[in-house]
Amino acid sequence: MPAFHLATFSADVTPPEGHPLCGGWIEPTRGVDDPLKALGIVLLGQGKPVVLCVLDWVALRNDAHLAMRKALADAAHTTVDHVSVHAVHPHNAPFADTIAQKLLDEAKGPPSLDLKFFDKAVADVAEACRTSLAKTKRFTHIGVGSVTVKEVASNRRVLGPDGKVKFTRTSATKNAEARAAPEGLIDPVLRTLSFGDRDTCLAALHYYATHPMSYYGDGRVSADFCGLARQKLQDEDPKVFQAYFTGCAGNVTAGKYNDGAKANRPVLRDRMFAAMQESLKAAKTMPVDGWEWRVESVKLPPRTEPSFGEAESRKALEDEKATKAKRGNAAFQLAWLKRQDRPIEVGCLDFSGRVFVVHLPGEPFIEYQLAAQKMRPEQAVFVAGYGDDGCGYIPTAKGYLEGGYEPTMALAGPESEAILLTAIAKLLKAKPLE
Amino acid sequence: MTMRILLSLLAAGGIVLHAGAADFKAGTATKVITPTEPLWMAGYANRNKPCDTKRHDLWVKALAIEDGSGNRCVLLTSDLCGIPRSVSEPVCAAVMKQTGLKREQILLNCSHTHCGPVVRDNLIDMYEMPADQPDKIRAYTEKLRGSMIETIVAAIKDLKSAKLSIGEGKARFAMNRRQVTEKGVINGRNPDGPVDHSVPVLKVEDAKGGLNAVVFGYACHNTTMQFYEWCGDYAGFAQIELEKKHPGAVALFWIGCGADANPLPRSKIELCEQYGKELAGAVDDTLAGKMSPLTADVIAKYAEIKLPFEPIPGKDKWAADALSKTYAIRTRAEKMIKVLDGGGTIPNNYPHYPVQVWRFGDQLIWVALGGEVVIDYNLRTKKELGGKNPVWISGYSNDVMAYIPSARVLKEGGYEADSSQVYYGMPTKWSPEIEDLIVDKVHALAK
Repeated sequence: MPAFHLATFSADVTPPEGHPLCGGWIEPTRGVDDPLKALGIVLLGQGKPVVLCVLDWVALRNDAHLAMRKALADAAHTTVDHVSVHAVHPHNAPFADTIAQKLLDEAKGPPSLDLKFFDKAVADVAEACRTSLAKTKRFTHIGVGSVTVKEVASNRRVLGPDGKVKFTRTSATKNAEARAAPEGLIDPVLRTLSFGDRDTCLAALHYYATHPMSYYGDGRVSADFCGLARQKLQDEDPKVFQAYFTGCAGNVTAGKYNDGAKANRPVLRDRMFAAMQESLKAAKTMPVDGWEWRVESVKLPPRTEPSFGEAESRKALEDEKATKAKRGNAAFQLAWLKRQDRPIEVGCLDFSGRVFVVHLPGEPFIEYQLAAQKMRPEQAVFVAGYGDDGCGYIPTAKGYLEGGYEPTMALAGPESEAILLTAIAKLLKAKPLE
Repeated sequence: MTMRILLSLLAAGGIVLHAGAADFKAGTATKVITPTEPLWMAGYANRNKPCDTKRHDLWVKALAIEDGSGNRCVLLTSDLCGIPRSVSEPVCAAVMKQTGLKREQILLNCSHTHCGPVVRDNLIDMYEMPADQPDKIRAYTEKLRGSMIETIVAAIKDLKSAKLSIGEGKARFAMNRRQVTEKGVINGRNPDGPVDHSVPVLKVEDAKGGLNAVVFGYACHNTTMQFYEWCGDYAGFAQIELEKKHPGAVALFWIGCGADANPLPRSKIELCEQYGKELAGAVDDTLAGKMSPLTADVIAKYAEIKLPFEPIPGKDKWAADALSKTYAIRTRAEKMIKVLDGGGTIPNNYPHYPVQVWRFGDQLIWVALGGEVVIDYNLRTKKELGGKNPVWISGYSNDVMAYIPSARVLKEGGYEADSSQVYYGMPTKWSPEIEDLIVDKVHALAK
């Protein structure tokens, strides 16, 4: 008889007044509209515990990502490779790269992260995880639900007739022509993976691919519309733990449906809320007879252009006259180069070949999520992005040629597509797509 | 229809021709053994005061079984850290005298809670305690012996028609604790290390199908807690939970070969209760599921074998150890010097390591080993003895004289292999031969 248990945990990871937001590129914390959370689930009973955790932060990169995983592994008495940490990616939120911050400190550059706050956040999340293990619940079933979300996601890369990016449809798109363009390539489906003890639902993990911002840059901390939707559902039924993972949303925003008006946040929230609620309600349950956690290590090669190289990055970092964003970005570039000897771990939770949850690094383009689903067309494939974000955006190889914003920021080269797709295929035990 | 045809039909249908489960009898008895005055607690060397409060009561519990042919056996479980030979032998002798049972028909197991009282002669070199404690421990131990005898005899007297069945559940909280570090193996955690998460369950129903008793085991140190309260630890909570859920039934826990597994994480009472509930849940699920009837006659066998040590150190070692700041090292050295000074020799073996097997035909082989047995014995014995039929392996049975490390663990070193021998007053490490000696004896008895 299986003895599967789960523990769920929640910790407050709201930054203090004055703390940099989005890595210091925008107005720092001036107030809190709603608290940021780290939410996690520990699966027990099938070998080593598996920990999945998601924070209402922009991202966790390189050593910061590893530090959070290590602390959670320690708390849950498992190994680091069995811990997957993700960000939802709202922008009025912290962006954690401890290597970059140390470089910024050395260069007397603008702050991107308060390291003491970060350490406390790591300790608090780990303690919440540790404490949760005294309140584990048995689960016997998982459920798979899905629903098509209307009027939230749109591809932000609107291509012109020349095949190059004509408009970058940012989260708040003021340009009416850009908004009028078709949705473009997205995954319109929100998926829910639930855990239950027979008929009693205990936890629900939701997955949808869009940048989660309605507006930002005003210093008002918020989990924004995806986090708010999750919280609304959580408040409705405190007995069922809710977490939300952002999928491959590197090139997906709400820009088509959002001009940045403040009134849009609750509107978008309610669309997501309705989708989460409906998807959970529609979930079809099946008994659990075990799972496997698989990891593939990948090395995504750094960009070869000189502007991404050490010399130019260091120059930009140390340039006191350069903008905060430029110096901060140079620090992120250097941090990524510094961790090149440590690969990124891509994880997959496999429930007996019937349900897969793929855990990807960086900000992958939506094409990766769609490819993963295509590799396993008969099964439910959930995809979480924004794991180790050291590499930043992960465009497709073609995306680099099309231009636009993301390839100017991506820290790994176009070879990444083939590497990542091969890893995904291995994790899904599928053949790579033709 | 001729008898031959009938028999082949029965055989083809897999029907077992047997007088039936109704021929079995079972009896239970229980007794509280919670100390009634402040007493030193067992299992950890760093406690510095006696315990005078309880989280819940400690118990000895007995289940007596009589098969269709009149063979009897009795299991005694206890919320104790260890049962030394100086307790088990007099108890068995008295029971044998009063009931006619043979030694092999009596299995004494302890749960290995570290929140139970010190029992005389068990781990005695571990504790540096005030002068009044040894007398109190002696008195408690004497009373405990009486309680054990009384409980076993009462269980035999309680024998009545019963139906037995077995099954297996799973509980996940045991984790291998032998963590490899640069400084060697420490008592930490090793999520990749071997463990056995199975929960063997024996269900005992009365003639009307009511639950009379449930016996269950788990291979994990019963050491979630290290506080100053009498407590059966996770096993205590599991038994309480089951007895609460099944009023009138007796829940008996035996501990398996989990000497190198800990309940992890630990040290919080909430975790302790949680593990108890999880274990009880695994048992309950098994009770509610399909279980295999236990109908075959039981054949009990028991032997004591010599377990050799590595070469015994000379007097120089003891002279040096006698100056140690560590109480246990000093105490052991003083004992060894006393032996040598008296013209004696330090034995190069432990002469009476107990190995016991209860075999219920091809339906169940139940092995009981003495000492704190590491998981390798469990895994190896299950592999070598098991086929389709279940094999249960209890550790901490009949005599808890030391850790029983495998050849692998002895080679790797660490607490189970090395330093624990000090606390048990053993002169040095076991020889790696002990693994084969023990397993070979199990094979011989299980035939």
